[in-house]
Amino acid sequence: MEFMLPGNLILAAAIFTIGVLGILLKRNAISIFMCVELMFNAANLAFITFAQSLGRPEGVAVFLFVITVAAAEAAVGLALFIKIFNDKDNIDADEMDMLKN
Amino acid sequence: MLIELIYGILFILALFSALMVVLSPHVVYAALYLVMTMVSIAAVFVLMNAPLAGALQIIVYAGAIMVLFLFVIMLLSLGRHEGPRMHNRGVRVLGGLLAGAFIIQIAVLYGSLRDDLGGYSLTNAEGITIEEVARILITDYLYAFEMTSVLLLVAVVGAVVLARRHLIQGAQDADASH
Repeated sequence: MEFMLPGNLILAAAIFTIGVLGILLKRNAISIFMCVELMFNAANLAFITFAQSLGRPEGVAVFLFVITVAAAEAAVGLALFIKIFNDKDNIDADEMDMLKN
Repeated sequence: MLIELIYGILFILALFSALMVVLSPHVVYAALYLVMTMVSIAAVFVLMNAPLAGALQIIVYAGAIMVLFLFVIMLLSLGRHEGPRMHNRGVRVLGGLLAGAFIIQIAVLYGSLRDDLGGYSLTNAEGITIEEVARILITDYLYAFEMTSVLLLVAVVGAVVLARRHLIQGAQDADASH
């Protein structure tokens, strides 16, 4: 089981970087939001890995808070996307460059 | 030996599905690959002897948040709008720099962790029980716990307000008809 600690950290770093590359390279707003969720998952993996390795339950508590914040952010963000799509009929992040409207 | 094999399979599965989230051209496929990533991370949690985290990840994250994503994708009928088109040269350079920095980071991490884990070890046989987590949530982290419940309430109210059309128009019609 010892190989899991560096393995998990490398996996978390890899998924985090894939998420950041996805945010830079994707144009659809919902795809960008899904890459943010990828980054959350990578951070959760690191939190639980260290919680198990140190034997402290604080890591699991922070994991719960991260999931809760991600759920609240998903609800509000997707409601915003629906509203923008109703007005503009298009969710393309390159075309939303004006703060007014 | 069996644990190493299962862990290797889960590692490759999580990495592959994370890559396919970014690379797949269809938004629904990307959402399903994200669900696969979350489930394989939950399987790694269970393999690490933390079944509470695995269960919570599947129930809340893959089971509620991703269902919300898929509902919104269905409502907006997004379809095949999308390809990971790297049309901007500055963004490509930045992506290349980021990938290079990541490879250096992985090499340093692997080099420092290979010989000596620095006292960290994952041979924690009993794992973290739900009683311990519940106890610290109610005693040490009570403030954060109550704040997240307020945050959820604010998010629900905000989402309901944002998703209503004709909000102001409906109120004006109601006033005009009195």
